[in-house]
Amino acid sequence: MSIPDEHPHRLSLKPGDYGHLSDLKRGQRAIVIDFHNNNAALRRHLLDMGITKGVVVEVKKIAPLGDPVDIKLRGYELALRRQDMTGIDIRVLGEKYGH
Amino acid sequence: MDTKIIGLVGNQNAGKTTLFNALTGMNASVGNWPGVTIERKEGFVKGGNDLLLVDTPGVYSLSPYTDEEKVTRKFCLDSHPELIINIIDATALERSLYLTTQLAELNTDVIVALNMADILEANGITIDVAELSARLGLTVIRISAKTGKGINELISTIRENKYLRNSHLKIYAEDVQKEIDHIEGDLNHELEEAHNPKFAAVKVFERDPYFHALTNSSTEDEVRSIEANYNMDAEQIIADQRYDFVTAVKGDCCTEKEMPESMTDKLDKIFLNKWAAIPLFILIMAFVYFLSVGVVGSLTSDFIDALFNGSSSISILQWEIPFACEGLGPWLAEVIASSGGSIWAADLLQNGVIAGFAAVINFLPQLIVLFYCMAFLEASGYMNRIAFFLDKIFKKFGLSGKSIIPFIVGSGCSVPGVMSARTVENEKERNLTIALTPFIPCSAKLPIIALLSSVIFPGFGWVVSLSVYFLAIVIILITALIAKHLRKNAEETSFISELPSYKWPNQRYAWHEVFDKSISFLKRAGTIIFLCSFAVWVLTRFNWAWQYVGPTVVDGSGSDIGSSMLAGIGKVIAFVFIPAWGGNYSWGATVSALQGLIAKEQVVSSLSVISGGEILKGFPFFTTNPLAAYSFICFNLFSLPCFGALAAMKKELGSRKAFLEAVGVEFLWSFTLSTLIGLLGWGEAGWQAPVIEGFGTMSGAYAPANAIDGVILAVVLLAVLLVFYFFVLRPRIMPGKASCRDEGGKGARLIEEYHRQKEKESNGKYKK
Repeated sequence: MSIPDEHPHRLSLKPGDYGHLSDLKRGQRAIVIDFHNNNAALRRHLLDMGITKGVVVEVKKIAPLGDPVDIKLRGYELALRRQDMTGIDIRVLGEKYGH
Repeated sequence: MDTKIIGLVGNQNAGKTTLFNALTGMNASVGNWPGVTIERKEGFVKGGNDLLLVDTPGVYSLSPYTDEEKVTRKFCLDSHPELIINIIDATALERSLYLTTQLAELNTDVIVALNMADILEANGITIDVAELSARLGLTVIRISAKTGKGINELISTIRENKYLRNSHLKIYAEDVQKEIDHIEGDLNHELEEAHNPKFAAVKVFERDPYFHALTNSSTEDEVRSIEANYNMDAEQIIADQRYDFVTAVKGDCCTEKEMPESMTDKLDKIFLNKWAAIPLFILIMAFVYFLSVGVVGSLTSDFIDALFNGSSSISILQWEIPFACEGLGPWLAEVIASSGGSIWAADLLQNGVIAGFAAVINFLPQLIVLFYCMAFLEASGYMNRIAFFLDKIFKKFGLSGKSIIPFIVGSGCSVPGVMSARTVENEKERNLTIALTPFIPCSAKLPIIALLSSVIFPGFGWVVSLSVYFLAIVIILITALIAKHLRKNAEETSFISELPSYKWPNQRYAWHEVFDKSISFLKRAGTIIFLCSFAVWVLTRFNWAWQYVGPTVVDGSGSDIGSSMLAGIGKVIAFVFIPAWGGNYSWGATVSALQGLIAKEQVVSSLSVISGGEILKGFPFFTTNPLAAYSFICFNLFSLPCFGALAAMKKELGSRKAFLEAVGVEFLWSFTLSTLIGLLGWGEAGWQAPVIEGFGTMSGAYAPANAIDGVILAVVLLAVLLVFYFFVLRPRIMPGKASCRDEGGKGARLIEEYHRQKEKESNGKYKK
């Protein structure tokens, strides 16, 4: 049985790579470049919480069981399930303040 | 002087409740928002009753996801407050100002209260308030809700009308702004100023379903062409541009220093550690229950019991300490008997009134500790972490991590627990959470557990208490799993939660909450319990021929309660529970368990009244057959919750089918579980053929009465009638009042009075 949100083959992303927010590891920073989410209410909610194109996010904490993930954006921390992060396209940034 | 209505609006965790308390001096009145059971808090701003402050549920945006958020949106749009105080968290400026940009589109003036000013420095942030105010076109006041800094300035600014009028910012890019202005121009023909045309125009642009009726085909075409230009949909364009504006404002008025690792991050390395998080959570919860039930409970409950019911020694943990005390009840009985009153009148006071109260007040000290621990965990930010790290487990069971909050609140009282399930966004997850919350042992069930757990495992009662909590969790998970598999086409759910910084809770407000909860617990103890105790006393002291069968001697002996009316009723239904109580035929335990439907507090006080204050002697099977005692706990824990919780469940579930399903599941569990445990008890203690007695033999005598008896009976009856009228009948015949146990009373009256006054004013008849 495959569990879609578990990401058994999670990619290892390097700065400059493109991928999904759900692929980031702890401490990695990325810029949000697009959104493709079919769940309208979830989409709206994520927009309201500040996940818009161009925002910089950093994976801060990961729950002890691997999910949900706590990301820092716009000066605050937001917890999301990996499953909900798969719809967010990102480009990985280098260590602090590098592009 | 006119009373102005002021709304308090802000993000969750922005410090809204603290600011509300600081502004109103904690003289809030609590009621409900119309049509929903969501708590509505109102209070006059300190220094007069010209400004009525209304607290609203926390929101991040005026696009609602939950019923609570809908309430805030409706308040902002339709209640026409004179002014909105928008409290914003200075440490999360962008996210907070996003809501401000929406409020600024309303046809209402807005003051921004920049909260957490006291911890800005520690976070390396400086904010230019004058610049922020200029950019927003709104008055900005720097406050600290926690220390009270800036509160007086905020109040005087409002009272002296010194705030800026809403200048309606234009924040969007030129093409978008032009289209929105155009829509607004159209809407101005249909909407009055009071209908917030500026806000509506943006919503029409976004295609918000709530405003769908206002759109037309040419607007739709224009929005489409803008979407094509941006390669984004309208919703995204608006959110993007709001955040662009907010980011620009923040960049101009705020500087951030790079800070070393924050205290929150350090603490999270421990509390969210991969290996330590869950063991720590279990330890913390175990400590909470050890402290409340184990330490405080065992230190105080015997002592309080001695004060009311008398004793020669009290046991603390496993030690027996001599403590001679006659006790209020026996002392009163003695006084009545020696001054010529009859035994039954003395018995009425001692066992009908005082014993019932004592059984409940006994548990107050440990409840206070429990309430305090919960308030502490909630305010410190740890509760959000629990939801965060349990989400993955809960998701597997068809629940959300946020379900933990109703469960934990439910350990105080199921009613607010069921109501706090509103933060769970998905309907299926929410309904399941509501159905399962009553399985968590609430504070009223605590007396039952506390009483019997020390019997089951002497000296280590808290271990039994803890095992009951874990059993509750196991049952919740099993039920959830079954529900998940029965549910077809499960839709996708999500978990979106802020992870706030750790805070040291404000002790004053934490204790204020503890005080409120304790008072509401006592109010119940003093009302429903009092009524039931009286009814139980009548039913146990008289047989069907109304002959007195109670004690014939002051010390409580010589009674023939087995022939009373209650015994008769109990014997009819007790057969059902023979397996559950382990072959011990007990009408008293059965009748007490059934009374749990009225209020769970009633179970222990009924046991106490039936046994004449000596529960363990009156019900020997609790001590001889520990598994029967455990079975009794389980029945009371997992059976239907009290009427108050049932009412809350019905309202929150919204459909009769869902309600009946939830109730059916609860009843099934309680019965199966208590029977299974009881059967184990049979194996352990050996089969005992139940002793089945006939109905009462009517062997009592008609009670004699004299003047003293008459006075006592009259006083007790008057009290019963008054309590019945004020706490049971009145809340029911006055619509819109007191639908849950934490409401009513002074608060509801204040609101009602305010509205009545408002009405009078508008009729021009109001005179000072």
